[in-house]
Amino acid sequence: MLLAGGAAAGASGAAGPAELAAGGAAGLLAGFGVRVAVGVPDRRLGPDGIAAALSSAGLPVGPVRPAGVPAKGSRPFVAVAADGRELFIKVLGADQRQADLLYRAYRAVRLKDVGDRRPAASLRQAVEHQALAGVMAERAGVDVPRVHGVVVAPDGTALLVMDLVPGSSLDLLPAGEITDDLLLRLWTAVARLHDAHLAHRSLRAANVMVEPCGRPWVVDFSFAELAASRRQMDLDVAELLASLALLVGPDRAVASAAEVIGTADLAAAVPLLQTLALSAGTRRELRADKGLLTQIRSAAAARSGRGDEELAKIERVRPRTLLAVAAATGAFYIVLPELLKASGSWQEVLHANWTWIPAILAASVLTYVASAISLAGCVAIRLPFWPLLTAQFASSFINRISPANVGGMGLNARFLQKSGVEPAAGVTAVGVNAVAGLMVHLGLIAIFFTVAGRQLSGTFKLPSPSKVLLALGIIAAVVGLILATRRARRIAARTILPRVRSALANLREVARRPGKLILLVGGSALVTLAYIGALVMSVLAFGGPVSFAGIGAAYLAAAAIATVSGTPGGVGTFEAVMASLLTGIGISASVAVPAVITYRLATYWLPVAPGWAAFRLLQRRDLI
Amino acid sequence: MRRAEDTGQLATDQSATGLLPASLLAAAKLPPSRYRNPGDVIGLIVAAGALAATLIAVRETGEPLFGLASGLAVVAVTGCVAALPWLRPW
Repeated sequence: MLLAGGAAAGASGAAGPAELAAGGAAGLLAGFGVRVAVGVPDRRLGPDGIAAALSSAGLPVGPVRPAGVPAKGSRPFVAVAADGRELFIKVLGADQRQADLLYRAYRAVRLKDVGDRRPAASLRQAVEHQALAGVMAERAGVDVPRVHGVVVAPDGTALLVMDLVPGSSLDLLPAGEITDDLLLRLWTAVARLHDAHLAHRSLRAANVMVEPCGRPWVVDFSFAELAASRRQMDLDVAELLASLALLVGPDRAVASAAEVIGTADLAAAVPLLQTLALSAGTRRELRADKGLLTQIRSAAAARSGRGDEELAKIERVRPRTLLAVAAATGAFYIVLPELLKASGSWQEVLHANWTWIPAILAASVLTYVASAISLAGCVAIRLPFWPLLTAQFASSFINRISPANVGGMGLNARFLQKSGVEPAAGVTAVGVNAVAGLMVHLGLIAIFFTVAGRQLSGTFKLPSPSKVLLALGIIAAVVGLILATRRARRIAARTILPRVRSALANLREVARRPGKLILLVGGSALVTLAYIGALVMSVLAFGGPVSFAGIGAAYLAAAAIATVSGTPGGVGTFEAVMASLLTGIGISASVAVPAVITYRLATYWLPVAPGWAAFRLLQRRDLI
Repeated sequence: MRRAEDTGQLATDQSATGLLPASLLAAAKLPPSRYRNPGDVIGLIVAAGALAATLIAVRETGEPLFGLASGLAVVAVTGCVAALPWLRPW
């Protein structure tokens, strides 16, 4: 009746489709919220249904009862088969499948290079894969629970039937019962798994059962990988090392690993001894023992002869970065137009003079060409142009999820290294490029502010000389106070000063080669000028009054402010400041806001797609 | 995949799916006759995204946000979605 009422209101024109859709979406949100809050009736397959399903599949069992262990990944049950064997039955339904998909999506967004694969096409296939991994592990000579079969119940619930392993899980074993022999047998099992190219992918103490006689059994192959990659096997080693160190200490854990799997495999696991690479259970336990992970890493590095303890980069994006981007984007695209009384800004964008759009897009592309030219000026060797240009698109994509352009700089350094530049020289080149960009930006600020002159007087009020001196005095005092502390002096002496000296020395080196210097400075200037050109044309597209110098000065100021905002590309901050400054130099809000939106679409959001494609292309061609 | 028994369990073999939902959903206990379906969490996330998108659309079209029709829609959809699992015969 309510739906009919809503439909009637829509049909009669009393409500628009967008309003009805918003109401429907709010209803969905509230409805699912109620379900999550109060739960839903548990009609999942119970002990009787499980017994019936097993019986109909030719596996008659006695009474089925819950296994009595806390579990969320599956519902475990135990039963006694007709021949007297005790069986362990993992029951997986649609809810486990949905939880799995949700968690995989979270990990795909958050992490990279941790060996995650796409989920199985169905719950049935996932369980079949788990069974197959168990059988393959058994064939590899590893003690694992024997798989008796996979049964699918009439409601689609999948049952994995295995032997019940007697004993206790390793993490619950008293410390005195964890002998060196047990550790060596466990690492031998790991070596056998890896020799058969199997990765367990959850190799922690809780997934090792120990018989009363001290024989270890590896259990739970729900995430195991056949045809495992080297990275997946290294993660196995890192996980087990961390998990064992919690029980027996880092030295015994590392020593037992080195004795069986060898120092080479141990060394490969060192960069992965970091919290994000480990299971949540191990992470939780490590939190209670601060510093242990560092001790494990040091012990493993020392034992394997690995010179460094550098961590592998596995975090794709930090949650706070995503939050910052979402908040800043929302603030600009929803709140700012309201504040500037420019409602309907998105509709205004559609009313642009479209003849300017190709030119704006061309200016956007020109920034990438200029960026490639600039970087080419920083290295002694000649770089192939197209891969270099592709790297600029890729680095812009990475910069969308990393603040202060650090991701893009890292990608460029990696690209230079892969292109034949010495690693140290590549990092230096990227640093020189950044320093040159900063200098050019400051130079252009001086030029544009001088040329724009009085036009900016209402927007930028220059302080009096006495105020400037006072500000400089305060800054000097603050710096002096900071440097008065030993810690600050140490950081300055060891970290900041050497980098500044190195960058300036390399800049001087580049300056000795006029051709390279022209590429570097010219490219840097062209990047900024192309951005200003795109902004000027965006204003023109909405019929706004244009002063190239005025808009350029406003752009340079907004870009400088946005740089310190902390969000990737200054998103949110840049738009807000840019729109405000444009209105400050006499452009109406009804032009400034859609112009800034258009400019950002062309130079920030649209390049995401080609940037992603460029990133994948460079990965495929092993250029980064 | 990272773990699911990331659920704390696993004294004996068991699957491990869904650390995030596991920790999210374990926040409040339910009586044994009920449970939290991770699919509902997915529905919640999708609905939040749909609501954000439609709110932006409503703002752009200038339609009133909470008129009679949208109010009816909210009540109707909320009731249907919340009650559906209780009405299904299986």
